[in-house]
Amino acid sequence: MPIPSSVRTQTNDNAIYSVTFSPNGQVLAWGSLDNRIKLWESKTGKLIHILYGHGDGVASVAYSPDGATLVSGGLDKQIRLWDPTTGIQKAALSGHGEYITAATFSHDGSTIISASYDSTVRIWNANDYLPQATLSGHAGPVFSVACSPTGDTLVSGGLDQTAIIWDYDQRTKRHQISGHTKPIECVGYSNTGQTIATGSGDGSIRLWDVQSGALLQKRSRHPTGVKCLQFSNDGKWLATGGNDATVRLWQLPALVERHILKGHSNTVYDVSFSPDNQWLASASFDRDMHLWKIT
Amino acid sequence: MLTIHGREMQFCDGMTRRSFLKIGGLAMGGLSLPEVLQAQSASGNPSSDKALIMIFLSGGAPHQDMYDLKMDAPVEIRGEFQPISTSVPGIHICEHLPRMAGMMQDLVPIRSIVGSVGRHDAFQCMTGRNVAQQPQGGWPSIGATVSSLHGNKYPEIPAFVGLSPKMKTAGWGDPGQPGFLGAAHGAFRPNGDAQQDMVLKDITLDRLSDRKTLLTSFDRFRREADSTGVITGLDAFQEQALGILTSSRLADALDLEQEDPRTRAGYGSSSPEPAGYGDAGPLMGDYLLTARRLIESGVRVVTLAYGRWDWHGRPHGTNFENARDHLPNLDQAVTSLLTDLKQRGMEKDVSVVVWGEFGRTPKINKNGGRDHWPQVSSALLAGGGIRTGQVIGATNRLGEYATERPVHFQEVFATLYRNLGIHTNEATVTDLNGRPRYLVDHNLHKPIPELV
Repeated sequence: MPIPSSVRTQTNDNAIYSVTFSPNGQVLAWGSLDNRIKLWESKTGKLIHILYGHGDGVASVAYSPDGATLVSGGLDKQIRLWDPTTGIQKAALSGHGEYITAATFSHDGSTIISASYDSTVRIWNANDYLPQATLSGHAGPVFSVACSPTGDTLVSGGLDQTAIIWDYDQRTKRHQISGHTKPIECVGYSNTGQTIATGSGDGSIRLWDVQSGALLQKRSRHPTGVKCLQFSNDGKWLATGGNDATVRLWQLPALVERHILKGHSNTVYDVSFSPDNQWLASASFDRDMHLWKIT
Repeated sequence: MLTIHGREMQFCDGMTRRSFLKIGGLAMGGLSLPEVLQAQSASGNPSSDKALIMIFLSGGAPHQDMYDLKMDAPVEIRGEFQPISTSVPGIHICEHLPRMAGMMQDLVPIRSIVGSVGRHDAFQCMTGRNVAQQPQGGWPSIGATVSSLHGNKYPEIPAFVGLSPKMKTAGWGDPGQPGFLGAAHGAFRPNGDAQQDMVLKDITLDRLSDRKTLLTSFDRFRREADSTGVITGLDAFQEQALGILTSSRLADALDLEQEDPRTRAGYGSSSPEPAGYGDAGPLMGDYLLTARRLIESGVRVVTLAYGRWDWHGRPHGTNFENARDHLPNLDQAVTSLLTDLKQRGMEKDVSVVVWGEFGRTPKINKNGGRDHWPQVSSALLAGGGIRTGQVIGATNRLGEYATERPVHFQEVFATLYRNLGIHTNEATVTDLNGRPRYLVDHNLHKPIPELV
C-alpha cells in the first residue's frame, strides 16, 4: 500500500461521532454531536440530505446491506430508521433506558442490533421494528456492538473492560473475553467472521478467535486509547482511530502497523473503509471528516 | 417588539401616532424605547471612554486545565495537558493557549477566584452577587449599573449591549439583568429574543451584515419619516428612539462586513451553531469583534457568552476532548481582541474579563469529565489600565482550594468598576425602596490591590 494521503476534508459545525459508506460506496453518512445526520456524495462531497430528528448527539450510523435503510443510534435513547434516498424518517425505536452508543444491521438486514449505556444489547426486528431480545451480561455501559458477516454471532464491548461474543440465534453468551485493563471502546469482525478485534482505552488493539475466544494478537500503539476500528472488506487491513488524533493502518493477519495517518487534532471517533477498499473515511471530535486515498 | 415596516407605515395616510410609536418597543423588559430613554435621561452622563467587555464561559471552565495546571497531582487529577512557558518568566499555562502565552505580559490570570455560590448560570458573573436574598427587583448587573451611573455616551448608542444569543439553558444566555434599576438599563440584545421581532422593512437583524441593503433601507425609512413631518411632532425621547433605530452608528458597529476581512478572520471560528450539545453558546469569534466595534461606537459594557464549558464527560466528549476543541478557539479570539484593542490604543480604557460561574472538580470522573467545583476557579483579566504580566493567587497541589490570595468575585467587580471610573466605596445605586446600595458589599471587597 502506498502512503495514504488525505484527499478531502469536510468540516462540520460540531464533533462528528460516526461515519460510514453506503454499500455501493456512493454516499458517505455522518452523525454528529449537533443531533444531525448528513449524507454526502462520496466522490464530490456534495451534500445530499440533512436528517433531523434526534434530540441529542448521533453516536452511530449504519446502512442496511441493501442500502435501502440507514439506522442511527442517538444519545437521546432513540434508534431511528431513515430512507437515505428521500431523507425521510421511517421509524423510531424506543426501549433503551440510557444513551445509545451503537446501532447496526445484522448480516442479512433482518434485524437491528443496538448497544446502550443501560448495559444491554438489544435486537430489533427490522421489518416490524418490534424488540426481539435484550442481551444482558455487561456490568456497565456497552460502548460498541458488531454483527458477524456470517450471521452466527454478535460481539459487544464496554465499560466493564470485557467483550462478549453472543450466539445470535440462541441469544446466549458464548465467551466473555477479559484482558483489557480499561474499557473496551470498539469492536469489529473480520470479513470472514472468524476474527474479532477489540480496541480499548488501555491503548491496545487485540485480535481474538471467535470460535475459541483465544487471544491472537495484541498491539499497543495508540498511547492514550483506541476509540474506533474497522476491518477492510478484503480482510487485509485493520484501521484504528485513537485519542491521540491519529488513524493507524494495520496489515493483517500479523497486525503490523504500516501507516500512521495524521491530520486530525482531536480524538478520532470513527473510521470506515469504502466497499472497494480504495478509501478510508475518518471522523473526529475536531469536527473534521478526512477522506483518505489508501490504494 | 421592534418592527419597522417600510411601505406599510404610510405615516401620511392614516397610521396613527400611537401605532407609529410601537416601533420604539425594544427588548428591554417591556418598556418602549422612548420610555427607556426618558428613564436614562435621569442618569448622569459623564463622558468617559472607559468600557468593559465580559466574556462569559457558560458552564464553568476547568481552571486546572487552563491557567493552573497541576503537574504534581496524581494522574486522576492532573489531566492530559502539558504546561507551556509564557512571555513572562515563571508563568506557565496550558499548551492549548499558546497565543495567550505569547502575550502574557498583557494578561493577568487569577488562579484563586472564590465565593462562587455554585449556581449554573451567569448571574454571579454579571452581578457579583448571590442570587439568594436579593432586594426587591433583584440585583442589577454591571452593565445595567454602568448604564445607570454613566448613561449613554451618545444618544443613539445604548450603554449596555448583551451579545449572548438565546440558549436552551436560559441562565447561560443571560446578558445581565437590570434588576431594581429597571428595564431602562437592560441590555440591548441584537442576538437575543428581540432578534425575531426586529424587522426593518424586510430586513432582520441577522441580515444586518448586508450593509448595502441595510443602508438603502435606512435611507428610505428616514426619507419617508422625514417627509411626513411626523418627527418634528415627536418629543425629544421619541426622536431619540428613532435615532437609535435608524442610527447608522449602531448599524455600522453591528455590520462586520465593514471590517477588514483579515481582521475578522483573525478572530477565528464564527459558527453560529451552539457548541457542545446544543444548550449553550457558540464559539463565535464574531461576537468578540462585534464587542470591540460596539465599544468603539460608544457602548460602555458588552457582555457575551462564549461556548459551552460544562464538561461532565462522555458520551458528550471528555473534558479534554472538549478542551481541545474550545481552548484554541478561545485563545485565538481573546488574543485577537486584545491585540486589536492595543493597536487602536484602546487597551488602557477597555477592560476585558474572561470567566465562568465556577471551576471544575479536581478529580476526573469515570466519564472523563470534570464536574462542578465552586470552591475555586480561574479568571483572566486584561486591559483597563491594570498591572498585567502577573498571576494572582494560587491553589493547592490538587487544585482544590485557594492557598494564596483568594480573590472574591466582588473584588473582581470592584476592580472592573474602578477601571470604569466608578469608585465602589462611594458610588451607589438606589433600590426600589429608595435605599442607596453600594455596588459591592461595602467595606468588604475592594479593587485588587496588585492590579491597580
